[in-house]
Amino acid sequence: MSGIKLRVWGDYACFTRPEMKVERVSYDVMTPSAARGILEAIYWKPSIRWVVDRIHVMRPVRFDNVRRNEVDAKVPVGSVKTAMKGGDKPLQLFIEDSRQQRAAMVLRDVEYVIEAHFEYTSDEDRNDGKHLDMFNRRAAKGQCFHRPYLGCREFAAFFEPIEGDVPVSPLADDPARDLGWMLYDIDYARDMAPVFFRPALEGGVVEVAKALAREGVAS
Amino acid sequence: MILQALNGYYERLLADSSSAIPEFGFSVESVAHCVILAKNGDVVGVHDLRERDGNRVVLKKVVVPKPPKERSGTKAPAYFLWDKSKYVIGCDVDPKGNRQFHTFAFDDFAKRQFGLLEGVEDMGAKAFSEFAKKRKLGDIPSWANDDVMSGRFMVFQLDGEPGFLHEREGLRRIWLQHLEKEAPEDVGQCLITGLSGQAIAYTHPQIKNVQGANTAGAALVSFNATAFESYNKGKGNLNAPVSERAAFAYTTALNHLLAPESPRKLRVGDTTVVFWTEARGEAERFFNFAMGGRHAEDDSLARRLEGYLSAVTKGKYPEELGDSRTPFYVLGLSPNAARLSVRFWHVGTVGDMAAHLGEHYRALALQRRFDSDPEHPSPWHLLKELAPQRDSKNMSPLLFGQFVRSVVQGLAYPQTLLSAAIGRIRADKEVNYLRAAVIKAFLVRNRKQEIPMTLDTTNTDIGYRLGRLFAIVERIQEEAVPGANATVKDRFFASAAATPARTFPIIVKNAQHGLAKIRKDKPGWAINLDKAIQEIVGGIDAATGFPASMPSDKQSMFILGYYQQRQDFYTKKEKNTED
Repeated sequence: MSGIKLRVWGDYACFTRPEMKVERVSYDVMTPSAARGILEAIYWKPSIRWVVDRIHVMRPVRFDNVRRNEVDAKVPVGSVKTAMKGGDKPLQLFIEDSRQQRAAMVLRDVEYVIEAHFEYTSDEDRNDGKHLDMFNRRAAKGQCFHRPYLGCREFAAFFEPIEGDVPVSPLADDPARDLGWMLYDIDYARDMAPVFFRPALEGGVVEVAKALAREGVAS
Repeated sequence: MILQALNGYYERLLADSSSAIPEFGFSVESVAHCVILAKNGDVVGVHDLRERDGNRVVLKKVVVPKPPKERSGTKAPAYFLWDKSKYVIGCDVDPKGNRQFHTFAFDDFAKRQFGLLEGVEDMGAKAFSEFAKKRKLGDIPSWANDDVMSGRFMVFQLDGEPGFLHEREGLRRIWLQHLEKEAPEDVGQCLITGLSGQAIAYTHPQIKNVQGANTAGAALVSFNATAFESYNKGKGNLNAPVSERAAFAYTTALNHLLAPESPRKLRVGDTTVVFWTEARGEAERFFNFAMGGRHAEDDSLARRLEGYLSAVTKGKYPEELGDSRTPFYVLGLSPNAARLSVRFWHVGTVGDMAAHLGEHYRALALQRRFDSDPEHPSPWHLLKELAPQRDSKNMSPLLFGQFVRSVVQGLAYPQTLLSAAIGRIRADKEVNYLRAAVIKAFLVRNRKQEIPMTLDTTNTDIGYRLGRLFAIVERIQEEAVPGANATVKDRFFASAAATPARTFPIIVKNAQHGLAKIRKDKPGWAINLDKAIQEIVGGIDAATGFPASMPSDKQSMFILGYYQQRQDFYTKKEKNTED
């Protein structure tokens, strides 16, 4: 299956660790599911499924702290339904009543190259050239279904396709670095269970497939 | 990585027999009394386990069986083989001296003990069951005075047998079997160990002793509002699956690091920093010292640590710190209501840590104004100097995290450091050693400037030159008009630094008047000052003259030039008096 290469970058990124998602702490590098989200924002159809092969880290890992005002509540589904039926209760959430200040440890000045391929989810619409062309054309023109982002919706991602070889990462000469257990993706088929894997940053590259194979975690 | 590193630290402590770290299902608690039981369950006596250290009363730390879940609420369950009088006797005494009876607690104590001890062939188990059976609610036994019932914990001991009752091997086994049966039902992959099919903890033990957090403890991992839930996982920690054992391990390790007397903890602003390493050596103590932690009472130790600091500032690595390749972890936590947030997290080696500290203190090095000024000012000292009114309450919590991170990791200082320093100086017009040192460190590290510790007359930077000029002008005024109400510094410092072209022509002209006055009394000194002005003004490009405005970098050079020129006056004066 032929793959795609996409360069993404931005000023901030937060690939939140699930255990620290209230007072957010980011993983050191982009997670495969965050990369998948970016690809899906640019091009996706029900007949294909993106699989991330490799993530190249193109800038040193740098952290920064920010504090933001958020809310502590969600609008209940029930209230939305009532409002849709024309109920007399207004649908509302007041920031003054449910303000929560949350600190976050986020990444600064990030740049990654995502290498990925797609697989088919069914027998329909199997046309490698078409899907590949559509992705590359859309990426080159800067088209997206929704704005791709780096882990958090407010950290927009800039993107461009890469033709030819991926440039060598400036971290290529650094010693290998264990990234610990990292969220691979959510297994939606099994009651939305989180799946973790153990990647390493070797030569500035996270070999996703290799890490999955090593730990025996199948997606 | 944070929780994994803490888990690893716990495993290491557990393997090390010299450390008193409890194993899974146990906890270190402060206990006041020990009740001695006869074999038939009668109470023989009560031992007071407290020690008096001067005026302080120290409770005894005892490892007791404690479920991994925190107990809370009115229906909190009793503990196994130890508890408060509220549970053991069913009665406690409030601070006013009133006795209160607790039916639920009394019954639950019996329920717990009988449930676990039934049919157990152990002398201790039998004695304890008898003891529990003999109690009557509302009946206060003669051994229970008000002190015993004041809400502190008590443990039990079998008369004539060594060790506490809960330390008996048979009873320990029962407790561990019970824990296995009690394991939570939710199963999944643990994100700390990576193991699948683990019993996932619904709540994690609380983290205590973080400055500013609830005294009862705060949570590092928690989902305490609906906005934090995802994927239908509810408010429990199923959002972030951690096995019960790993949850116990990381919290125990963190609480161990945060313990009140821990040498691996320091407070900087609102952030509590813990750090640990695997090295045998003085690396942890040294870091504590270099970052301005509590100073050792032991003088020789303090001198030794000061020696290491001087060594690393010179770029040397003291062997006493242990193997330089040993991993070194730094975790900064700050409270946010009932939660803890991670301010920074750093994994490095002891060698890197020493090198980065050395670089930091080298960048800071500046001629001191007074001998009482600290040679190695700690981050806390520096940032307090940048807070309005020098009140630690006004210190920026964000800046703190960023600053400490840049020191520990050897990165550029945060940009806000410079603006905070310049802003403070502009507001209260005070240029002292600590502020000048911060500015110097910033210029050296972030702008790659080479700035010596003392006055550099060859520096041609316009900001630096104007700063020196301003110091001379101020000096002239001090000599010509001693005790002036509003000095040139009070009136013009901020505008001279920001817009020299508007300010300098006026103040230099005024200085000429002052100079004329000095010339009458001390002609030689007047010539010296005049020469100094000529030399500085001569170095300013005539075509451009005084710049109309100066950006913050030039302003910081201005402040440094001002500080160093002023220092230079003091040094010269000392020489004069010696002559």
